[in-house]
Amino acid sequence: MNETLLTIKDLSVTVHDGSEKKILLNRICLDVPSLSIVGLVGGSGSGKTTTGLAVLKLLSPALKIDDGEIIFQNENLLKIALSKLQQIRGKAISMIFQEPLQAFNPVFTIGYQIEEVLVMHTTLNTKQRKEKILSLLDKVGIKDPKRVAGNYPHQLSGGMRQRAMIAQAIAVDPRLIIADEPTSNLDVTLQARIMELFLQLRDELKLTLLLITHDLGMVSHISDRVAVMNQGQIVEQGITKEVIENPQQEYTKKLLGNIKF
Amino acid sequence: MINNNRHHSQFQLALQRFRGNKTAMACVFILGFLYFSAVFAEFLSPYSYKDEQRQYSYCPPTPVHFFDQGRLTWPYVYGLQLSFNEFYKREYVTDVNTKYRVKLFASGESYKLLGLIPTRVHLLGVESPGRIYLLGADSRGRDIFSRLIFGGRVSLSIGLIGVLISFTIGLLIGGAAGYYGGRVDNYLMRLCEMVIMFPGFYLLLALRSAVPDDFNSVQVYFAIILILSFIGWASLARIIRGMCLSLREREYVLAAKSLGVNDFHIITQHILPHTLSYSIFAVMLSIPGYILGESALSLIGLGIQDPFASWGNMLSDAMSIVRIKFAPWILWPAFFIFLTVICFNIIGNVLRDCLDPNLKGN
Ligand SMILES: Nc1ncnc2c1ncn2[C@@H]1O[C@H](COP(=O)(O)OP(=O)(O)OP(=O)(O)O)[C@@H](O)[C@H]1O
Ligand SMILES: [Mg+2]
Repeated sequence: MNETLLTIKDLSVTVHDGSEKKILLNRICLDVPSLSIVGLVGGSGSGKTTTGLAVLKLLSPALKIDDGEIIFQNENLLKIALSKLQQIRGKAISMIFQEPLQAFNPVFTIGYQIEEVLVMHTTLNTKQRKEKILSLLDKVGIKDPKRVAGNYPHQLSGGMRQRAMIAQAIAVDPRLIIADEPTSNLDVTLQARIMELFLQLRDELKLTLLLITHDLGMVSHISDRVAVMNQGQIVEQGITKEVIENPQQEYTKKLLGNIKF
Repeated sequence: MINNNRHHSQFQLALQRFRGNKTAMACVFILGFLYFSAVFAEFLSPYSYKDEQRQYSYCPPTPVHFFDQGRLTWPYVYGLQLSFNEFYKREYVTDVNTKYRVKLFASGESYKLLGLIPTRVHLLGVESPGRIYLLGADSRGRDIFSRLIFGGRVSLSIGLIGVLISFTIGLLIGGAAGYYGGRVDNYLMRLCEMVIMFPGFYLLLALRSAVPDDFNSVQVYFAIILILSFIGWASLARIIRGMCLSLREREYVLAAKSLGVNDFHIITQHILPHTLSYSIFAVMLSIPGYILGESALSLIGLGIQDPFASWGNMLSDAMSIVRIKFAPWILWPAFFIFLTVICFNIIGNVLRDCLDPNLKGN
């Protein structure tokens, strides 16, 4: 196995609503090896998105990280300065969100929003940026990059938006992409194609992927490892094949029960 | 800050709805006309704002005649003879024997058009010893019509520049408070409340008294703008802050953060544009406040000083009921203030209806 790119150690997140303290993440440990695809699977509300956001320290202010370490390339992301974190966000780790229509700003074109990332993290000039945007859109399999770059988010189909979102995420060659349910709003054939795209991008761009989903069946096809989450805890993790063929936990079996092979 | 061609089509829809509203469009034309005349004041006014003719003090409007003994002729005005009646009251008697032709593109005092092109051409004028007072004259025999046009330059521009400054401050402070929340929010909002707490007009007076009185007109002009903007930004900041509190929870803000976009960029690009529809009509509705503020200051003699004209200081002539009775035309500036304020208010209200679909059924 490759060296580990991201390690989450004993991560605990709580939320205080009123006097009550609710534990959202309970001592989570997760290893993401370099160049692998790791699936983070669990039911709705199990804390998958919370885990993903915690890695980039983007939790809403109400949520507190009580304990733990998030180690990325030998640095604890929970300890470093904000300015340094901002260099990591987007450039080293980027995130793909659950609902691409909401993750794009409705008043700007797709091209503009990809350009924004390039402006923040590169020194390319306007012309180079335009070329880069077109090549990015082309890379994620968009047929008509010129038109799409000039379109507003609502003018695209769901699949195209998702691809545009991926183009934005890979804009400055990050090492790690956290994809939060990247295909949950798409139909089955599109899901498969987006997954293929992820595989292809991993090989081409030397990416590592943390794939968050509730669909164990889908990750089982492409991921190297899976971690199963339930109610803020990781109940089981390991090599995909082993987990699928020989699940140890009731919860995993229940998730597997839903899979149609 | 916001580039037009990147905008959502929703905006164009609102604009279309706005164009359909006849009253609002009429207001746009009226304001357009007023601003246009303010820009070309030197050309459109027969005389300069400081052209005094003491013998024509409170001269009534000189009607332009088109008929001479029942026949259509080139427009002309009669000459005037000053006399005193049995109570020694000034009276201007029309002298039907002297006629002065009204000239188009007459040559008069020299000036620079738009501050660039030197010329002497005025749109209207009469032959030399005659005077044309379309809307009468003030106490020093200056043409009220000309001074209205020049005064509009001050009164109308103060609204625009003032709003520009206070909205920039209000948007940034409200944006920062709403976006960061917590302590930043707390401090900025307390600051806002301090400004709002003072009754506006007294704060205006207090700030004005802090300005040295040996300022020249240009300095006074900018001082007034700064004072008015200083008072004006706070209420906007509070509302923008409220909107930003909810806007910052949007997923695209999170997405932008996750991509390492910096805070300033997020606030100005991803949050504030969504307050645009509110801001636009708030701008329209707050411009009258600046115009009235300037007028109030000038009216009581603390604003623009004679001989420079502003609608407010022209009105200070009309502070005595006797003078109004004797020469009611000195109230013209009040009419223009009224007209402008009404127009901005109507445009603002209609814009709100057009921009905010929640308020209207469609
Ligand atoms: N800002 C918040 N304040 C309070 N509770 C929150 C907040 N954000 C998330 N939670 C809670 O944390 C828990 C985990 O939420 P999370 O979004 O991580 O779930 P998820 O696994 O991503 O679910 P889904 O598959 O539906 O996206 C939920 O019970 C949710 O109610
Ligand atoms: Mg989620």
